[in-house]
Amino acid sequence: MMMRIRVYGLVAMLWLWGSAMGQPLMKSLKGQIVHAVTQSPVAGASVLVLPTGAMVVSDEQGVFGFLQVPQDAVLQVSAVGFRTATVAVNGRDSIQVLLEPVVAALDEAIVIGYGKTSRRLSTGSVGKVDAATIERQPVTNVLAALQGRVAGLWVEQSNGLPGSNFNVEIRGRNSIGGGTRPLFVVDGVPWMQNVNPGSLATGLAPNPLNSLNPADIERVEILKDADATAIYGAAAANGVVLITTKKGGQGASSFSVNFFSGAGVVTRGTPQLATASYLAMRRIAFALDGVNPSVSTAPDLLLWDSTRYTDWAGELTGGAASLVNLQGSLRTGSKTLQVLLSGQYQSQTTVFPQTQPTTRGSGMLSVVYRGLKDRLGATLQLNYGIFNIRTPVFDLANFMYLPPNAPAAYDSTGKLTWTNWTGADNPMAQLERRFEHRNATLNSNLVLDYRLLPGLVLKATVGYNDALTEEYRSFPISSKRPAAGLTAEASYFDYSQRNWIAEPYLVYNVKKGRWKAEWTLGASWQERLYQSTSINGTQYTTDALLRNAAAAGQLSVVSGYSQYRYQSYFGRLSTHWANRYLLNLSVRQDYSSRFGPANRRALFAAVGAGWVLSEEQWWKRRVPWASFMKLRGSYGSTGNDQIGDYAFLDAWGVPFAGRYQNNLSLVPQSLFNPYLQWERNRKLELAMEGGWCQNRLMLTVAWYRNRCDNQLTGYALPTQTGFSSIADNLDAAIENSGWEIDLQGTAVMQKDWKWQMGLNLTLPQSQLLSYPDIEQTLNRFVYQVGAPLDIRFGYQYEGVDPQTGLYRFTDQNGDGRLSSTNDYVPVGRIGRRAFGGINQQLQWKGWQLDLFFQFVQQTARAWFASMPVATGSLGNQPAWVKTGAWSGAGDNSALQRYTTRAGAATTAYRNLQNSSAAIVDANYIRLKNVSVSWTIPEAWRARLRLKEARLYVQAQNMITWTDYEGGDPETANLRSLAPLRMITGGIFITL
Amino acid sequence: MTNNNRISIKGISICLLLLMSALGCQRFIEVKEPAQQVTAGAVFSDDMNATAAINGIYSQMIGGSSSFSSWMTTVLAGAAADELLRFNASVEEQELVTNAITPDNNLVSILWTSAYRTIYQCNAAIEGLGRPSAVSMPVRNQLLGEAHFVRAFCYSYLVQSFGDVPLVLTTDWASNQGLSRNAVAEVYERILSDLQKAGSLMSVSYPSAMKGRPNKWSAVAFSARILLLLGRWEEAALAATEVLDKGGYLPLPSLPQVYLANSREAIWQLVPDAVNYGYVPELRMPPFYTANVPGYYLRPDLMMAFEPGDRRRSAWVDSVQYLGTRYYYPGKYKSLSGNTEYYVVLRAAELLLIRADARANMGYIAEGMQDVNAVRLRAQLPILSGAMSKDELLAAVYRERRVELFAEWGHRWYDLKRTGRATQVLGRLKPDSWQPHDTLWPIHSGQLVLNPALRQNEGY
Repeated sequence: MMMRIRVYGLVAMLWLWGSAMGQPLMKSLKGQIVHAVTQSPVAGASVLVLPTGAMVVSDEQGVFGFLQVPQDAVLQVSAVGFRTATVAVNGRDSIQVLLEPVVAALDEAIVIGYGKTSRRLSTGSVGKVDAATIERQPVTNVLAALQGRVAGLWVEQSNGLPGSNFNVEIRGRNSIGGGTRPLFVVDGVPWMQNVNPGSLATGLAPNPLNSLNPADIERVEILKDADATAIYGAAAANGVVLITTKKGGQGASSFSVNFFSGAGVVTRGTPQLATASYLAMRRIAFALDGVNPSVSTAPDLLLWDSTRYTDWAGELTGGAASLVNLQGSLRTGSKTLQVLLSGQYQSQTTVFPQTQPTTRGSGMLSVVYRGLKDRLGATLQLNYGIFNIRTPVFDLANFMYLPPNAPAAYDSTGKLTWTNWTGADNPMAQLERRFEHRNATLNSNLVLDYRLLPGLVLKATVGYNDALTEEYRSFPISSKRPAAGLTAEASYFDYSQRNWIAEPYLVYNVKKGRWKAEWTLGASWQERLYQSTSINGTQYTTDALLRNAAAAGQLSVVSGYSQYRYQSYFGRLSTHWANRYLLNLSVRQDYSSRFGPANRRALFAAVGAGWVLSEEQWWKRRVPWASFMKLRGSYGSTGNDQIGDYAFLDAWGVPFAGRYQNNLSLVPQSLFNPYLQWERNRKLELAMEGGWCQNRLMLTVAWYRNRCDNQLTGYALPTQTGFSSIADNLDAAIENSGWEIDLQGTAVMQKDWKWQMGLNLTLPQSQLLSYPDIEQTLNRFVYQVGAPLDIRFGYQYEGVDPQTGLYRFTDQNGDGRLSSTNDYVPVGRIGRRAFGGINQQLQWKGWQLDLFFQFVQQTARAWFASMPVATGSLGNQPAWVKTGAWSGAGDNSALQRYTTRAGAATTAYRNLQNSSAAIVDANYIRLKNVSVSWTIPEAWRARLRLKEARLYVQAQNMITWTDYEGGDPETANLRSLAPLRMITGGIFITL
Repeated sequence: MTNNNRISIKGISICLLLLMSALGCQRFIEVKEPAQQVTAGAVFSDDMNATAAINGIYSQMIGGSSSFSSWMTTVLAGAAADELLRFNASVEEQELVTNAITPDNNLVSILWTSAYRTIYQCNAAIEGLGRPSAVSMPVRNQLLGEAHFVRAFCYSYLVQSFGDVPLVLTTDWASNQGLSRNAVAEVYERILSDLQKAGSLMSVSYPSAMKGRPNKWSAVAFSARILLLLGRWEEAALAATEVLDKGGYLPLPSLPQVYLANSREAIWQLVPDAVNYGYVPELRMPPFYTANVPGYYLRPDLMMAFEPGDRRRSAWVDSVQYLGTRYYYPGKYKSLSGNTEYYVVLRAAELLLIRADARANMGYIAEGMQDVNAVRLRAQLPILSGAMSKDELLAAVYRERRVELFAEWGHRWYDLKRTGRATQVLGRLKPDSWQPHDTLWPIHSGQLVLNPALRQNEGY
């Protein structure tokens, strides 16, 4: 009503103005603005007359009018969510303008906590990875598909073994002693929240997201700033990863099959010394040590065949891993009911010899209902996955640096050899030692919404997550050097985690004029129960019964139980005026069972605000080429309670040994701290989001600064107290700040041709702001106030002493000897200065090419940091040690003299590993993903009766460019399996 | 319509708030105590739990790989003295073998840390049992006695290894974390008073099966060791005599029986279970794991210290041939499973030698020779006879101790220090590296940082 009056008022003024000017060739114009697809009227569109500059806004029926318009004028019509249209009047007096909707990145829905928003209206910082991006990557865990894709998100794979863990950090590391993991929420249910049950795996615990099939994921949202995360309160200090699984859609029933298969190899091998140079190194080492080799110290020189050569790296990790994946999904949907049913089976092996497959079977069901006159909605997401890991107990890459002339692993009859293996064990015996991990996870979530009144919706989310893990690890007799009376060991570890969550909330949408507001008010109850049984069996006399705990000569059992409860009330007000001025307030009150009775409650809140300049009339007039411009900022607090259950209790428990003389025994396990409470992370962000050329070019530049204090940590105690630490909040503060840049562009957009590109860049910084009395803690050689968190302490390296031939370091206090206590100084940082990714997507007719480059500017540990023995000792070395070692007095060399025994040279080598020389640049650019797909032309598909058909080739970790010496720069460890280069081919069809 | 809306929203909000408050916040997040744990208050509330807490002391002492009382004292002190060599020594182990220990040495630090961990348990027991509770009087006395005894036992190893040490006597971590080192004499005074108290509280009979928990005689026997160390000869001899006369530990059993479960000679044995058994030091030495070589083996000069015909050399020493060299290693314990042998902490032969030592110092030569002979007879060695001077007898006692108590709780190392012969013996054996201040081990540098009140030992 108001609007119409205002429009008429404007029209009247224009008419007066126009008649005053007395311009000829002017006439009145009426028009309507219509949605080009739905034919519905578009309200609120602005109509600009060029060249006069007159402007009106369409009313609720999409109608607008001018009293005086030049007959040759051009109308520029723009509206939120539509491509701007330009129409020539051409003397007409009535006109219909069709507006093409743009589902540009700008108005696409973004999932946030307890709701949705859009890039246009969001006041927070949310990164997104969609299903198409995930599906292009032949990975088995969704986390691998996120690497390099989102600014501010760092994902690092700890090891290339199937199922191994990922380190995930959003905007840096916020905690010294508490957990730094983001909160993972799958369809509204916290996924394995803050649990680290451990594993029988020797290296790395399997990742809890393994059982989730990446192909079932519709989208992943990364919530970064206070505005986006404060609604998750105390769980959100480290950011939130929201995973939404797929749903069916409206339309005819369809059935799709996706199959791919491929192979993987190690990305970057390191050449090792050949036998002759290896043995030469050893002889020189003994000569310089002044020691005569004996059979026990030098089996390679005295016992083994000096002409023999085995490429152990090739033998152990040179194989090809295979990956096979089959997925089927069925969709059907009407307006009221949409169903998606899908299942997947995947099998992968690794590069070790005789590798057994690691498999995943998963199924999901999604049912979406909307009915009762559109008042009731229900969404059920059910997801069940079983992930089986089968690997050797140890990463075989550990054993790659055996002497190259070590004996053959197998004899002529194919049996493991043992004689002559002196000073080293036959690495192939490791294949007998099995690690198995089976994780079965059910994730279910039901969302109900009921419209009580227009604009008022009552929602309820009920989620249940049940994960059962069974592990088995064996050390059979067959893996041990034969001897009399050998026995075997086996361990069994079963644990279950059950989470439930119930969250009723009300959403109320009001609209008043051009004000729009959404209120959200709700509560959350969560509980997690953890139970475990760990059985360790020893003295099995036969390998045949290792799976039977009853066959063990001795058994020990440890049980675990913990309960975690969490309760919250939360509220949010999201409001904006005319898509122009945005304000978002969120607040959450949390209660956690993890803290001392005195400090269980905490309040978290955030405010976010935005100003969409491009909605201002003056902007539209003066900077029409900048189609979108928003300034936004947010500030607020979130918390972290990742310190484990019951940490505040003075608990006595059953010790590892269990009983004494078959009687119960109890030992003290922790000290009481009733004041233990939340870590608090206060986040500040300022950002600019802009769009140019009809938003074909979108740029986001964000600056953030997170300050995390009240650090949850084990406060170190001198052990004379009986404990080495107490769980406490330390009055230390960490700052993570940085710049994030995200650029998305469409270079070519034609019928047959499309070229899109994107770039994201993160420039992170961290600083320890304060740490009381750090000089009196063990952290004084770990952190420094005012310095970045990834600082490293060590000896200052001075080079090789030309006289002694040993590595030399600065004796800081000049007392004539080196000790960590007196001579450690900050020697550098191990961490990232910048990282990001660049993607290119080219489409031509049915062809699509995707390239994704990941780049990281970082420093890492030098190669020798992962080589445990000094150069010259028993064990092979990278080929580059062949030259450069000190050989005699006066020699200026890069490497110290070879050595074979404990002594000054070995000490110097150990010091080198903890020195400034051990920190080197490990920058890299990686062609992380290449994907080529070809959609079979329509005509062929019709003949084959296929709705869709596509063939594709995908590759992960294809090429790595780096100057880093020492294996893959991501793992930066010569003796650990790096993520594999995987190449697959596949076919996707829809019936 | 609009008004109606408002009312409904108000109504719904009120309902929601009521629902929230009905469910309550604090009540919901009150979780059950962890089912596998109990809190301190509950531990000393009844006989069953209080006894479990004392059992926990022994579990920790014998359990795990890192306890001064399960294996570390034997191997570390053995390596620091002239008993043991390490096959393929790590840098830290080599530091012990050469007595060039740095303040960063984590092995030595384990002795400190584990002894204080046990002391915390003892202090918690002493405090907990001091409060009124349902624990019955006989049980309370026995448990209090055990806690005092074990605390004294721990302090004796701390003070002998490190010299001055902080006397921590409560569980109050806030004040304990800043305690500085107490003088050696003060620590010994506390050890003796704890032992005195333990002896008066504990029963003569063993409180659990066999000799797995100490009795009154354990406390008296241990006080004999401390009194000897302090040169209080008469009291030492009296204490030893009391135990030997009344305890029923004599006559000495034959050599193969000394380390068996419930051995007659044993005064206190820690009972390893299946899990812990592999950690008992003497059991780590035989080459029963992957390597064909013993972890620790005996120095040649210890082998030469055995007199010809000494049956201990065959009964308690084993050997293995490896790549042309014969390695001798301690074979006092033979079994690979924990059912037949228990870890002997105190035994009668040591008491005989303590008394011989004390008697020699008091000038009772003949009586002293008698005690030494009791030990020699079992080893089927000729007895000491004829006239001996005090010094000759003392030398004989020291020699006897070396071969009777080798690779057992670091006796050799502490004997060399007690008798002031460390520099004489080890300086000759390790001329390149031995320094007189090596008799005391360094406090770990990390502890000095965490507690600035601690001062490092001389020479480190």
